[in-house]
Amino acid sequence: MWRMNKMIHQLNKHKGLLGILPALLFMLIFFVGGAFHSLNISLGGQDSMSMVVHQEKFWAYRELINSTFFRSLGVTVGMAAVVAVLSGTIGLLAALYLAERSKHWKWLNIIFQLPVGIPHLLSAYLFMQVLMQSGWYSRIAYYFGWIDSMEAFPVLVHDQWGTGVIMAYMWKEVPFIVLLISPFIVKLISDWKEQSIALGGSFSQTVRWVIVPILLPIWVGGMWVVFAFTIGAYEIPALLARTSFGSIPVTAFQEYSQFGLDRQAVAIAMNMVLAVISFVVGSILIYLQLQWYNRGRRVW
Amino acid sequence: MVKRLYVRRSVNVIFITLLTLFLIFPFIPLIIWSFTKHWPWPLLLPEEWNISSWKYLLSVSGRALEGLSNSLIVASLTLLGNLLLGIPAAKVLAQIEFIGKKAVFSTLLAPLFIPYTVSIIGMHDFAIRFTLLNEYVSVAFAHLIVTLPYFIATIWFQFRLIGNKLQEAAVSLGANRWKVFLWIEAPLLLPSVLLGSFLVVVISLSQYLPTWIMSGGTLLTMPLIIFPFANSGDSSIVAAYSLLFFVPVLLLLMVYFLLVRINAKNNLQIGGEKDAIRANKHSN
Amino acid sequence: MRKFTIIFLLFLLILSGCSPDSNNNSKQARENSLNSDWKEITAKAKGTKVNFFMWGGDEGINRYIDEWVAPRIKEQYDIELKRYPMDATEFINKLMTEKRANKNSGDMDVLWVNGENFKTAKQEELLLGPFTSKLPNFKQYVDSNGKDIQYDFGFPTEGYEAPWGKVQFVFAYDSDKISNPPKSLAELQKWVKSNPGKFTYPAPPDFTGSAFIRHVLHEKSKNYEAYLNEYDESAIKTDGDLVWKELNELEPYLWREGKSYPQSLSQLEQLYKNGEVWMTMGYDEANASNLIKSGEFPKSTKTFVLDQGTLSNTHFLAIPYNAPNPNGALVLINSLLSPSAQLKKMELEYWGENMSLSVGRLSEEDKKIMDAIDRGPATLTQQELSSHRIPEINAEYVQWLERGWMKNVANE
Repeated sequence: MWRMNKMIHQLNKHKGLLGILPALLFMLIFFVGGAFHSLNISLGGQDSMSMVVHQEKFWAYRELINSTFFRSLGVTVGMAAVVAVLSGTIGLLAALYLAERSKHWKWLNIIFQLPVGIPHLLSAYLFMQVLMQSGWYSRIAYYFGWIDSMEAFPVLVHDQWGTGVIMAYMWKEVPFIVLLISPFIVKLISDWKEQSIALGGSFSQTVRWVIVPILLPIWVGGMWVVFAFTIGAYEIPALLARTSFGSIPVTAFQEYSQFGLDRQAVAIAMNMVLAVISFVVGSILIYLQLQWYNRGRRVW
Repeated sequence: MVKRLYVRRSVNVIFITLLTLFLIFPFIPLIIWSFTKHWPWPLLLPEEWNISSWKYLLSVSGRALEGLSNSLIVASLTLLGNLLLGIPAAKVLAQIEFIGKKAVFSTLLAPLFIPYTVSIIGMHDFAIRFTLLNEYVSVAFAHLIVTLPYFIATIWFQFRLIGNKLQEAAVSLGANRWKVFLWIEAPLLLPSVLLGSFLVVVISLSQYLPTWIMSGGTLLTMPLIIFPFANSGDSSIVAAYSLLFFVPVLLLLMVYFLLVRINAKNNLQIGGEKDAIRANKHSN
Repeated sequence: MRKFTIIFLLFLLILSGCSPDSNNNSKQARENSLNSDWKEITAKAKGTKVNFFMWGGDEGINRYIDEWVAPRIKEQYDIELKRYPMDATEFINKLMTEKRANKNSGDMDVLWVNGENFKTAKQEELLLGPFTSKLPNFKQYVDSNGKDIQYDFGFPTEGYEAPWGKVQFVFAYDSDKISNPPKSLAELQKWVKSNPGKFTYPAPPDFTGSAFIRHVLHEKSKNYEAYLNEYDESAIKTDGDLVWKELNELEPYLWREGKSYPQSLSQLEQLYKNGEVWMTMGYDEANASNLIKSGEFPKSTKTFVLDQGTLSNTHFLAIPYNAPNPNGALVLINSLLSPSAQLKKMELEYWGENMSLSVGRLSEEDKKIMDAIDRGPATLTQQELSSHRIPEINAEYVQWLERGWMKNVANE
């Protein structure tokens, strides 16, 4: 019997390994392959067919070494970090609340998922319509007599701090985090609530000692996804940020589409820098998480 | 003590109310805009209403139905690809240890963490070599890249939550691999498969760049029809298209919650079986 | 892991090994269609399908193609016309990638281009070749010696593209709020200063915003003609400084005190529709009338041109080097240049845009039809427009200005 078991186990192991092949090959060929191809173009490799022949190999990257770009980099990374942390926190709180309350208000769950299906470009568009000084919120404020002219309404799009950009992102990403973690929360609560109450703990203790540690990988992972997406997407900052905001995806998009062939390498180089940053941030997160497990908070 | 609880509860209610309003409010002007062309400040509601935008949408030029059906075909193909590639991969990653696992895992999830603009620009060249493939299939390929990581991550996490114990128990009772998957894992996986599928379909519906790169702009899905308008400033038409875009998403959402609920009911029974298996194992 | 690597490399090899379709037949067909006579071309085009790639953000233009052109070309030539909405920069990028990968049979038959996009396409040899001399309607109705036909933003067209229409830049304003529109940029500046926050322009490199700053260049420059010719960076430096100075002086009185600009013409129009600003602008003399008709602009909207003139340009139709159906493309372009199609295009019902044909070459009957066309309440008379026209400058100067604006005005 034991031998049988082992054989089946071995078989499982190898057959199982085969299961991963199609997905892996697919990613290697398309995603990694595509990225290498882009890298090649940005290095000024043989594929660049521009009229201008650049002698140096790294010219596109060298062009990025200037204060404007570094300032933009700071703005872009900072904004992505703010969006990720804010939507992560609010998303977690909302998911906990929804899980606890969902029996009473099922429709709340549906409302919270509405924005997930809207493309980012359209969400930027929606926020333009409500937040601008002549937008719908300003009209509501006027209707209730809180303001007497449209100029009195606070500047929320095209503003100094990118408020509109952050709000539009939150509108998309909070529901995403909720969607990502709520099924697990619901299950964990149903599994653990009685046990912990039997042991004398309150709900908040259950959350702190049981649910959050188990959820941590997917929660942090979710925030990283948000960060990586925000850092590379151009639709929302293009529509809602002030002209000199300097979001890199927007600049890269302009370089790619407006300034001719030989500037495309620069656009790709900019995106490469962002990809590297996102990768480094992710590696740090993974490292921290491993440390955390090693210090004894390992849950499974 | 009671008072503190009360305060906390009202803080919670305020928080969730504000958040709900924040999420719903932007939709209201969208609905209004789709029925008017002229709506200046400070009118809370427009004075003139008309349905010309909706008429345009459904006209020959509007192509709303063509876009909708193309979008749905691509999304279904993408979902199929995810189910076929994603579930086995997630199972291996969750249950089997092997050399280089971390590298494999990070490759599979890479599109989540690395802005995919980079590889999409490079993919442009690959896309051209795939002219022999059917348009729908090649676009679904591109959507698969974007969605597969979400799907694998969701399923993987659920596999980890299930653990290995039940399967081992079943194997010790003489079940083979397929039986284990079908009778033990599949039911427990269902909630995350539903979540993953929902994510996949919704993400696939909203893709612009991968769609036009893979089809060369010839497969007109909803985003390909809407995006030129989003830059043109005709608020009314953009609003009407957005709402139309929203219909399948809303339907999917309902179906998703319905399935989750049905599954939760069934789960009560499965939970009973689970205990039975546990008991069985102990008695062994 | 090694196994994976090997398989991966193998796959890459296979991928790179399978050379893209080198379809010699279709290549020959394309060369043939430029050498064959018109009868042959129409005969071959019968029963085929033409893919027309064009910007798709205007309801009227889309309807003109789908509801007016498509049924007629089906009836007359048995050609199925399919419109695909895509920005010009996007399809030029697509074409470039196809060229790089040696793809000889593409998806696009007819492209709507001009300016920078045409220049890129021609320089990178992305176009089929000179074809306008093939088209009967071009030969009969177009003044092929006209500067606005021979040059596209200072770049010689040489028959690689056929003119589809002409547009002129105009400013639009709400006559309920402004009684005397400015006549020059100096007057505009004075008006902006006394009405702070009520004027702005889209941020270049937006097409319209970029055209606006060229008007400043035109007014400031002593030798505007120089910019119509070959690009020479040193030539524009001093004038450039004057332009930045002027725009920076204007900035504090703009919408949002010039701290931000609308990102596109559509955002500016949105501000105008909501009443945040009182003026807008656009590279289309009939746009305001169109928007009044659809109810988006207030009925009190009127347009004006500057005394010194406003920019005008021609936009064109081209055929890519790898068009799957060049015969059909030629037939479509020819019928788009027919007087009936061009006159229909002028009507406000669909588009309202000026035609590319030479009025003098039209038949008496067509002239009468043309005179009877109502171009809308806000459109200026043909006389007024054509007497205030300035030509477009070389596309490289355009780019230099756009970059300079981003550096010297937006970021200062």
